[in-house]
Amino acid sequence: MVNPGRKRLSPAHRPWPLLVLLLLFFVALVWVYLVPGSAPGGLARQVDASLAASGVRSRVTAVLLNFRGYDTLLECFILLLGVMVVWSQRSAVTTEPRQPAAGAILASLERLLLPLMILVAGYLLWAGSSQAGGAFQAGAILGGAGVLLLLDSSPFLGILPRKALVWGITLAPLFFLAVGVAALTLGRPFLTYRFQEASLVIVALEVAAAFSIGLCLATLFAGRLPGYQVGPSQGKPPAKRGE
Amino acid sequence: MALSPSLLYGLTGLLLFVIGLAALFTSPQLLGKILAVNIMASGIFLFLITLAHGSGTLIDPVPQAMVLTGIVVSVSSTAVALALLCRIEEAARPHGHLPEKKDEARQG
Repeated sequence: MVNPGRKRLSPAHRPWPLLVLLLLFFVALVWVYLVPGSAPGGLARQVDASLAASGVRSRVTAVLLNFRGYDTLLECFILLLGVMVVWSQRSAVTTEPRQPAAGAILASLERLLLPLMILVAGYLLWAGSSQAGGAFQAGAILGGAGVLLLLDSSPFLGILPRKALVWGITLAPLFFLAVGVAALTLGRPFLTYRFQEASLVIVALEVAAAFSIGLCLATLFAGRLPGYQVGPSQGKPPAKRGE
Repeated sequence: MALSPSLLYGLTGLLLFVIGLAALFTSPQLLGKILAVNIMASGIFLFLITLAHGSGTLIDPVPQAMVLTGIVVSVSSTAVALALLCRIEEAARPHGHLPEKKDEARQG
């Protein structure tokens, strides 16, 4: 029972004051955007100046994996954290992820597209060192390939040994961390590369990152912990639960 | 500043951000809030890319890298939010209502 005198309306029921505030906020944002001199020059010049020392020719890749490698390291860990949170919601997602859609069409599409997607991912990975492309794009395509497989309710994540899946997901963060710590032990700052090996390290990092990102995205789409059967009658999760 | 495509993109990015913010505050459903956060993120990405092109011919790669990172982060945060949403719905089902319907139930 609610006391009618003290009825509290949620913003959904009386949005006008909020909308006026937001409109003012928008005007303020536009003002900040348009007022001359509010946008400093950016870092394009600095990036260009040190591009030759970065080991790659693509400026975005140089920023992602060399100049601001710390961001990418943290991002790999955020993906890992996401997978951990989703997996920890054990009973959250339904047992069978989706109704299998039109089987024949999806299956033939899959046969047609999967090799192409892997090829494109490989190309993007390769192109990343000199032009647009790189680990993220390749990882996104690999993730899309994984989603396509999952849509066909082919349980490839469940067939994979659990250990292999976990290692695949943690490959990029661990490798990235190892590279950073290796620099520390050699007396250089965290996550810095020597010029001679920068190219090689960046390409290796990109391959690992693309692989892990793709696997993480597909795993996030799958939702629950693969191989874990939900429901009381279907037994316990396979092994690995302490007990 | 002259009227230019980049101005249009920048303003659209800001507008998307504010629209997403409004939906985040007003949407009664949790799924709506998740979508709203995604729209806000899209607005920010568009805005950052516009800033990267900024003035002059030199394109700033730092905001572009930030957007690439941000896209992956927003995908994973959306996945986490959806998993939590599923969990909330599951937890609320035995009690006969979803948490976001509580308001209407109380007022009705």
